[in-house]
Amino acid sequence: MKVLTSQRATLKSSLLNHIVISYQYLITMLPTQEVNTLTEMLISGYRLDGRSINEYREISFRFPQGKDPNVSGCCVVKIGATTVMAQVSVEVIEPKHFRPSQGMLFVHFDASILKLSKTLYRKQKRDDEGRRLSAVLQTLLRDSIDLDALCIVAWERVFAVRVELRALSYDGNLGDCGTLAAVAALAAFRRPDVYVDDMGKVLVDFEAKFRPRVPLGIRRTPVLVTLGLTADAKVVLVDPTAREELILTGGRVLLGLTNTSEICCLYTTGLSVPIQCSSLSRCIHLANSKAKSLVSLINWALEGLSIQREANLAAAHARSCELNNSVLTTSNAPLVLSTTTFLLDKNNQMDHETGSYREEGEILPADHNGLYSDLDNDDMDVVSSDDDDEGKDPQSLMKSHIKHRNETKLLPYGVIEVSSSSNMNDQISDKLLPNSSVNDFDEFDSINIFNANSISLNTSNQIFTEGFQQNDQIIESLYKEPIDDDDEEEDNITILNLD
Amino acid sequence: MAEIFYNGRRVDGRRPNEIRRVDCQFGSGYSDGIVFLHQGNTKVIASVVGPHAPRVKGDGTPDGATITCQFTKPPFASTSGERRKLSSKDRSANDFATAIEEIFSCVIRTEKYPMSQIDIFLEVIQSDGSEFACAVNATTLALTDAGIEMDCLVSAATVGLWGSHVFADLCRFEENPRISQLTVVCLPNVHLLSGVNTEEQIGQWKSQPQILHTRLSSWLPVERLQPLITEAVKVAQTLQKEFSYWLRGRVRSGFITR
Repeated sequence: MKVLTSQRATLKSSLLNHIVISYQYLITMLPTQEVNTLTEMLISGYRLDGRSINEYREISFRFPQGKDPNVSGCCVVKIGATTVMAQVSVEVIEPKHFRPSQGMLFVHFDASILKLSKTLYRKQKRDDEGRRLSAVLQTLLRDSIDLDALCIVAWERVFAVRVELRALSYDGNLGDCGTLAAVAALAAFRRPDVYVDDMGKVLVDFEAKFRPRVPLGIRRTPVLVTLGLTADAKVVLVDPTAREELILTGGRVLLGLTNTSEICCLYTTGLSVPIQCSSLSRCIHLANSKAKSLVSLINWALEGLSIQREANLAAAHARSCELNNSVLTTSNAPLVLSTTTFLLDKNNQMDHETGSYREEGEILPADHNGLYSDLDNDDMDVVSSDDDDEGKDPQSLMKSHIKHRNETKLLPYGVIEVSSSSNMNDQISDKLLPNSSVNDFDEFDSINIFNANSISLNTSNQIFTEGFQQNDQIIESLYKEPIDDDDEEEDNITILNLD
Repeated sequence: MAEIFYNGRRVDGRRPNEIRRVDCQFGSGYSDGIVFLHQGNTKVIASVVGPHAPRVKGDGTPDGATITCQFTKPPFASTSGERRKLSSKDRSANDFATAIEEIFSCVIRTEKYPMSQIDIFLEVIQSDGSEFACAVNATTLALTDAGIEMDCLVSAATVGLWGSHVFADLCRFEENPRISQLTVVCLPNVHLLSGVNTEEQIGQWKSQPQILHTRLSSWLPVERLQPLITEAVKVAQTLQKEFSYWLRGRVRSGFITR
């Protein structure tokens, strides 16, 4: 109680002084009652947004496309309300004299958005958080890319990979968000290939005329886990938000880890009270399990990205008879890949009209058996218990609609998906993915019509002539779509105009 | 190029648990505390000015002192012969300055000096590995020489892992990506908790050293990190005893001159 009263006294005096001096300091200060409430919640193991102590917020990946959709190395990652964009570019420069046959990697993190909200020093020009994260990411990414493969001609020309990161919005935990964006952007990036001319010159094919673009060689996938510490280092938080960072006066620990329990970054910042070795080892053990989940999440997002690219290539190079199927797969591949927590409300679990569980931007996994072995036993226990408690209700609902067996597949962070497999879906297209643009009302109706047809056809006999009628209905539904939304489906219009 | 480790000796002839020769000179001049610290061939000058009124009008805070740090590395500093231009955009120098500000804002009793500013100027005269650790040690000695009130002495050490051997106080040849190096800034075994504690808690706090800042620069399995931290803390505590001897001598010489 003495500690609390002394803290309250100091906070009250500081509040009064801040009011006298300037109004800007009030932005960074929290009221005393809010500080006490949040402290009590954290000590008892709860958070303000309902998460547990060892839980991340919702993470979503988005890969915006440039001129050529297969080439752009851009990635936008959101963790809750924190958004970081990463852009990877490549250029040809002369190598350093002490490393004549190695490429280079430059990382720049622009966290100037923090200056708007944190104006402690009026004339402080340094971007402290951005520089700190640039140094941390440089350490992480330097050893994850095969720099020896970036050599064009030794002593003369090498590739320099430049990763530009920018914080678009801030709600705490820029480090994890930036690392996820940088790693996903580097994995999605394709560099121009090198070929030898008839005259014997070594040339770089920047415009991809002679050779397709080549992915970078990635040795390992590093991931940064940020842990926030309270003043006495008793409570360790995963993924602190901006409001919690103000309370966590114990500082932060940034741990860079990989899937195989390798650590390459142990960076403690802002420790107002020194921590012990046992607390540090506890942080490392906690971050190790979180890093494995994050690495499996990145692999899952990159797999979704490759599905998108294959669908785009199939649509671009499709024949006239295969055009309908490829257009369907292109429109069904979502642009946003995210983890969604399993909602407890039963109404949100199922779409009763369509008869299948779907979230916006979610991909039904094809084969994820290898990813489950990566998760720790603790995470698996939590996920399996959720499955036992909540798996019964969707099964009962699914039985009324579809008689086939239901498969529950486990994803990282406890996402449970119920996928239905029917024979007619296999005949229509090999890869039928849920549509990402559910918000549009007209497209939603067309999707309902399509699914209703599939459900009705399941009950009746499968006749070959009805397959032709269904194809006609698909063509009619496709012609209806571009009339309403011209901007969103320019690719479809150009493809259909070829006919 | 000599072998990194051969026949129980390192590339500069030291044993694995042997640190370089550490020397310190206290200067006198216009600053309140000047220290010239040598760790082997790494030489750092630390100057401390303050506490003084803040130069910019709105920079002071009523809670305590504001600590600013400027880390400079001249072009002639590196012993490898490479000459780099001095620029304000140097990433590692600004990173070191930010870290040193955070470390010493935790250790200095800032509530004793409200609405004031303490300036720390660091200049690396010669660089031969373990720059950050040497800079932190020099800052500690300079702040003590300036008479600024601190909780305890801070000491830093850099430790490298080569196979199964732990190298103490790395030199320039040992700072390469093949050797995992860890820098630890730690405090002595003084418990800083305020309030009533049980005997068990006091026993736990006394037995373990306290870490204020860590940075790791290469890949390393997780199982090997804990012994590396332990060795780094031992090296830092050894340096700290050496610093306390010098400061006692400094105090005595001050009495004699009076």
